[in-house]
Amino acid sequence: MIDLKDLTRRTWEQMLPAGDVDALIAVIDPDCINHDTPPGAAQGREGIRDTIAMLQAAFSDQHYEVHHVIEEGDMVVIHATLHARHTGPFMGIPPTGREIAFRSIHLVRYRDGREVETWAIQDRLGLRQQLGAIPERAAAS
Amino acid sequence: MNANKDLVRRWVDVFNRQDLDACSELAADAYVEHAIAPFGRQAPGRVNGPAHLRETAEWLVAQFPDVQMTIDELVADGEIVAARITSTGTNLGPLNGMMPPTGRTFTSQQSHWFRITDGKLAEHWANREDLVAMLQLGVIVPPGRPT
Repeated sequence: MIDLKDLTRRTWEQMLPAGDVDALIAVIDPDCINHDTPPGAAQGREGIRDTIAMLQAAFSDQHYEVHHVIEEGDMVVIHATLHARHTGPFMGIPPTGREIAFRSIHLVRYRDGREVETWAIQDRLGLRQQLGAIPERAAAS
Repeated sequence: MNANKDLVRRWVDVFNRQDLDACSELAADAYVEHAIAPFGRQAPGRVNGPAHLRETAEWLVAQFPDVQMTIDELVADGEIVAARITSTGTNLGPLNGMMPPTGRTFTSQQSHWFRITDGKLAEHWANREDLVAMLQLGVIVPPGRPT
């Protein structure tokens, strides 16, 4: 019996910040559906390669602070903050050298110890504010 | 466990049905709010639960009178319930309490986490796709797009 909470925690604490694509591919089902990808973007194992490449290019000193991991049935939900330094281009934003704290929640449905369906809700607004791409008080202007 | 999920369903109804009287039944007096308002910088922290929930609902409904949250998933484990929610609303009141209403509608994903003690909501965290919402409302314009 695989401890899905432990697997999820290791995925975020170890595999993602290290950019360990081989380890990540081993926990992602070939047919995994990621509901967070933009239309046309790669799914599953190809998608994780693209995501890791993008994150590794943009952020150094990656470390995930895990706030909660919960489990019910085949679903695990993780609430975590990515701490890193913005040292490469990210979504058209040139490197700022700033420290970021990017909070996200991921829902992961597992089958036979592999991710088969994922959803992500991410504080993209907060991240862009931290990178200076959106004025902190845009709504006040 | 199901009682905890039911509590979160009733929390959604505070907004959907503007059932403000339910606030005192749902939220513990000692409540910790970790959610930060859009463009906000700090979480409120320790607050009076019922009063805070009522103020939050009033603040949101004043901006989006037709606000509706749909629960897409509820996951419960111990004293924690996580909800994946689709939120939609039309901006007909001052946005964030200060900007002229845009009249536009947003639909975005949110996640709300609760710690539940003694049958009441006692702690709340939120992650929301506010960037998506603010783009749809026209408050933020992507770089390079003609204005």
